[in-house]
Amino acid sequence: MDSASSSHSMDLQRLADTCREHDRLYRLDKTRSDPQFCFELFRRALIEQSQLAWEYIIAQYHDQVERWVSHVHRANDGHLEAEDFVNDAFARFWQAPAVRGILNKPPEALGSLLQYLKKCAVHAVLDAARKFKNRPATIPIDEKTRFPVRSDVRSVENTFESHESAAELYAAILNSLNTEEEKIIFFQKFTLSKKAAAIQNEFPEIFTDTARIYRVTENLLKRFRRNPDLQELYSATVQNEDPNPGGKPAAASSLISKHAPGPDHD
Amino acid sequence: MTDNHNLPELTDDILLAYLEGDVSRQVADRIEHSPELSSRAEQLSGEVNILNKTFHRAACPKAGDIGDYYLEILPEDQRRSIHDHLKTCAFCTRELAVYRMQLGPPIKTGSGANLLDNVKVFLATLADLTRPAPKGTPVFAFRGSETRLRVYQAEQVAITLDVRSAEETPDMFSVKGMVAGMGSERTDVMIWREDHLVETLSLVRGGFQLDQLQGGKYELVVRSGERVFYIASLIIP
Repeated sequence: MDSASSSHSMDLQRLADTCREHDRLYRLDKTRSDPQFCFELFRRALIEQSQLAWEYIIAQYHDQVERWVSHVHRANDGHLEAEDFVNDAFARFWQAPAVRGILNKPPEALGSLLQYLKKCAVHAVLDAARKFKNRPATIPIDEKTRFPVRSDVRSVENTFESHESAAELYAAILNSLNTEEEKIIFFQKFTLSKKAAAIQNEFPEIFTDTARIYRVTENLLKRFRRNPDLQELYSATVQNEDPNPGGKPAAASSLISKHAPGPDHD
Repeated sequence: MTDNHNLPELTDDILLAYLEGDVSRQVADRIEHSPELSSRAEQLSGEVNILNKTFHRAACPKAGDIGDYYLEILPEDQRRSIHDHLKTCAFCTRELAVYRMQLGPPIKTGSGANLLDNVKVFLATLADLTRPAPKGTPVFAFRGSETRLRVYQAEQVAITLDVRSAEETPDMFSVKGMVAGMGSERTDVMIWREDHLVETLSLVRGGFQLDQLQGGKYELVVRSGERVFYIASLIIP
């Protein structure tokens, strides 16, 4: 077996070949596999920034990452193609500071490194699932690819002028709320979509009944109608909506005019 | 404003309750038979939907940070923040469970942070019912054939599920569950189907019941304090 120093002095092609061989050995018999070669290949790619080493890594682990992705993707109800997630997983791995930290450890940390690569594969799928759920309601979806039709995509983010993202707007609104009750309801109802009964169940010391939750929600909605960013959001959503889906009146078409701002209830 | 001068005004808070199915049949009938009240309820529903879509998980940590939390490689302040968030967020708790399912136990690289109070996920697996039941497994109202029972186990916890078709709608199902071994802490049960949170409820006297479930593949998450038990695949019926 090669000594530890030999992996450092190997030319890249030979290092990649030896890594592949030891990866194969690992699957057959862990005790016969030496992690130093693959670890060194990762080190050259990520620490020395060798493009060629990175290409060897992708060639070596592409199919493995694809299997990981497919497993989670199936488990999570697929909306996108596996290959997109594979590319995303490698990109996330390349950018992660944690990977550099692992590469400062001895080659025995190869297991951690590969677990992190797998984490990036899972992350790619979970992240796509989050984005899919956050998509605007009116985005048409291509039935063949299940991707949003690009020309019609209007993200939630670009409906705001003064806030870069929904998270920023969320934080701004949260900071403007006056009471603990309002903050709890804003978080529980509007970010986690919980019903009043579930909120009351979770915070019985704050809400003795659901009636109070409905009353506070009503006040929040009144106040939100006066918020310029949310007015913009309501308008943008209305503009994006089918003018008369299913013959029913558009749900938000006259929110602001019909609900004239009034005083909050206590 | 009233629809009928003899009846009290139905304000928006009542309409919000109506949208969550939390009013009497009498109030629901009144709303449904009034075009004005129905229209107001629909408008409120539209507003809530827009806000839900806009702010869905806006306060959640990134999915990658949940993974780093699982792998125990986050700095302490970030770890603490995610730890606190996990206590109230079903979505992130389920993502943590998915990481546990997919990654296996974290492979340590020698970091020395104090992770004793990290939320730990245990994969609950189907027990072999031909063997004696584990100590503490409930024998609650399981009527009829025992083959309907499924017992999932992890650590000292047993989650017993009784899946039955609904009497009035045979293509819908109900799940009656009992959880043994969780201790006295508050315990929440979350059921998922294809990335969607179907329902969250708390254990009452160690049990729970989920109704009106369609047939299909579900995931079940049982959370109590710093412990999460995950059934990755629950096929109903």
